[in-house]
Amino acid sequence: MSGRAKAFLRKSRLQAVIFTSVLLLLTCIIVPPGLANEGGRVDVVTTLSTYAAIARRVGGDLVEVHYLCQGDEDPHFVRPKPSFSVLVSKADLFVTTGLDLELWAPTVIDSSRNPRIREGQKGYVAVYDGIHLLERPVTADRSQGGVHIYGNPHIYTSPLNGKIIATNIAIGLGKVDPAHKKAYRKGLDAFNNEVDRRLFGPELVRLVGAETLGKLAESGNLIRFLREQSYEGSPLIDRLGGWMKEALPLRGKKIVTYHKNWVYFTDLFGLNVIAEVEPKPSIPPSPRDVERLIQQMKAEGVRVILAANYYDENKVRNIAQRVGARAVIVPVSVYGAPGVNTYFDLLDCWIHGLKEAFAEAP
Amino acid sequence: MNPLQLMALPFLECLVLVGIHSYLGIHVIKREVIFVDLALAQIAALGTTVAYLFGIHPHSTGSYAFSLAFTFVAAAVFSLTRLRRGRIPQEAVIGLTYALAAATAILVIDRAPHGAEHIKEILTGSILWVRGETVATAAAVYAFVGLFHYVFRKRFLLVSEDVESAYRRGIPVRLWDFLFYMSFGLVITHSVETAGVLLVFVFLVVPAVLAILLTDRLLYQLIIGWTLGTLVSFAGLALSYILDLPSGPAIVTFYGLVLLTASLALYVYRSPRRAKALAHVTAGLLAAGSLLALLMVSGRWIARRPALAFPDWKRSALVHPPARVDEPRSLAAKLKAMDFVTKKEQLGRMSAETIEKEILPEAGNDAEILLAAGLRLLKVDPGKGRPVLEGLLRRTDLSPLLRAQARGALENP
Repeated sequence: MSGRAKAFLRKSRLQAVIFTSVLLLLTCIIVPPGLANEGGRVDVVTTLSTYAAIARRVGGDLVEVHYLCQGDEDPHFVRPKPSFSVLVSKADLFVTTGLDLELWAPTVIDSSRNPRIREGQKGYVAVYDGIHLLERPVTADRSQGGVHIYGNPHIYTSPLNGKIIATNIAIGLGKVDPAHKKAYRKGLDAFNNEVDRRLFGPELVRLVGAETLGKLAESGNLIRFLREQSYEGSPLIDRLGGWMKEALPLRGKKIVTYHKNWVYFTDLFGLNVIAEVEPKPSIPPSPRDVERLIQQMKAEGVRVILAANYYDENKVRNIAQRVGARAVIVPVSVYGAPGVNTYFDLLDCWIHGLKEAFAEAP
Repeated sequence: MNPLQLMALPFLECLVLVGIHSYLGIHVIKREVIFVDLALAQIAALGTTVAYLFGIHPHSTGSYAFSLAFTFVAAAVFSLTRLRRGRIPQEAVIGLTYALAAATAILVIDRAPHGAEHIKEILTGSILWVRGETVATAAAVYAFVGLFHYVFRKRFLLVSEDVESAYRRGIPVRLWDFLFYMSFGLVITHSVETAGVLLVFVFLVVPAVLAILLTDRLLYQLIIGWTLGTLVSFAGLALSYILDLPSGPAIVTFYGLVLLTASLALYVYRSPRRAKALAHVTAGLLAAGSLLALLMVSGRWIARRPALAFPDWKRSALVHPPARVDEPRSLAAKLKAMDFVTKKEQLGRMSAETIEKEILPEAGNDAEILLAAGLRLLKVDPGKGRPVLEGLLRRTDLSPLLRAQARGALENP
């Protein structure tokens, strides 16, 4: 065989290797789902899937809703993809928390070159507006971990905040699509009424009124009030239903959460979060932190750890195993797990998960 | 829980890793395929990732089978691409495999959520969280590979050390290459899952480099590698515990420091003119020290200037925090924001005069305030309380509970 023929063979073998590698690469790429835009509908893009679920309830058939951060993805760390810009570029309404949770959102807005949804425009909705923020820092610097400079931004974990979020979305929809303002108002009322019924039970809402109940629940006085007051001879607490009733056994129970995802939720339902697995927000624990946590959990008899399903499950289960606690690993947002398709499913999922864990825990 | 309990499993895992990796590292350095472990690790990770795409979870048996299968394919590729008189170095193929596997993993994981976390996990590992069963399986797998290599040690060593004479003696080099890479992949798949790419890399390379620097005999090389690995793992883990640092990266950097110190010491020791060599080393250390000082000074200087230390959009967020919810001013407005229980408590302490002058005119249609004010007035001045409650009862939007309370108070004050 001539030298050239040998060189050719050698070359063709290398080519074969490269060719197979490329084939492998190609088979792994799945064509992104079609981004069809139905004519006539208001195009809504939300950062979080939970906001999308709420917007779908409020807007019904009048809106076409997409979201950027998946339900089981950490909203702090989303890497913007080209499809984000495509989606946002044709959006009529952009819905975001408006705080420093989705730090990637400004980049997406900029790269979409869509002037209608810039901050301050009609098509921009910051859903935190009107929500009383918890954990406002006194000083903001990164030495305290991923501190949010305005306060805890995981606002939607309280259904009461869910109502405010829905209201803000409805106002935004009414601004970009004034012709259907009434329909959005109707959708909003239906959503908010369902939240009230699911939170307090229909009977209590009828008797006391949603506004009175909401304010009592937010300030933490609800349960005391219901125990002290009676109506037609029986204490009001007997008429409590919904999540509040389901979560009654959870009141005052001590838990540990992985990240401060659930401050608004635990505040509303009276759970006592004694510590986080993360020593400082968004900073992974070191050996000593874990040891300290385990000691604290043993000392205080903590039986349950609550964590979002985007954190390393092994870490959470490992700690739980060492203290004989239960790990409740749940989606932090709608569509984050099979069967969690509405905002109500999400709350159901958290409360049921916690109740089961406390029932099973030794 | 004391430190020993916490660090015992990670240390055991380190020992198990040191055992096989010090040995395989010697092969890797002799074959001049330093980055093969990175490439194989990445391929294994790609296997896990692809499995994840099918809904098979990481750390499960199915995902292990996937990553193993991927590694074996890569082992075949590596043994096929080593040519007796190739013009393209083996490192090029390895580097290419690494880059392709890494890029593909990112593309694949992009379809699955929490991908970024997963990829970071592969890089740094989580040796601190290792479980007893994992250490046990790792020990069993590595022992099997070790035994395999011990039985065929002559073939493996010949192919690694002197491939020319292996070719001349008619040994099927390609087969032995494949067996080597396959057993190597078996080890890597396991170790990367717990220790991460970085730690596995230093476990592989550092003891072997130092051992080869010190002696030519395989047995001594192995003893040096094992001793060093054990000592450094222990010191690294202790350091990680005392200074509260992430364990994997602590061991990696400590390994680097040890290698640097040892090679500097060797350089001085073996040099024919030690005084001159010592002067070189001192000068080098001084230069490094002053560079570090310069770095610290300039870093602090820049950090104090917001124009340099923050991107524009973040600076504006610091300057303009979002508008806060308005704090109510007047007494009535403050009351409106409170819950029913607090309203009752607050109004229960007020005089009839305050209620009449400051509360009622501004209460609007807040039924809770009107009821609480009516109840209070009824107590201190029934003549003023009655009309308030009666007015309230005329409203149609009053909730049954408030209606019952107002009526009850009117009927038996």
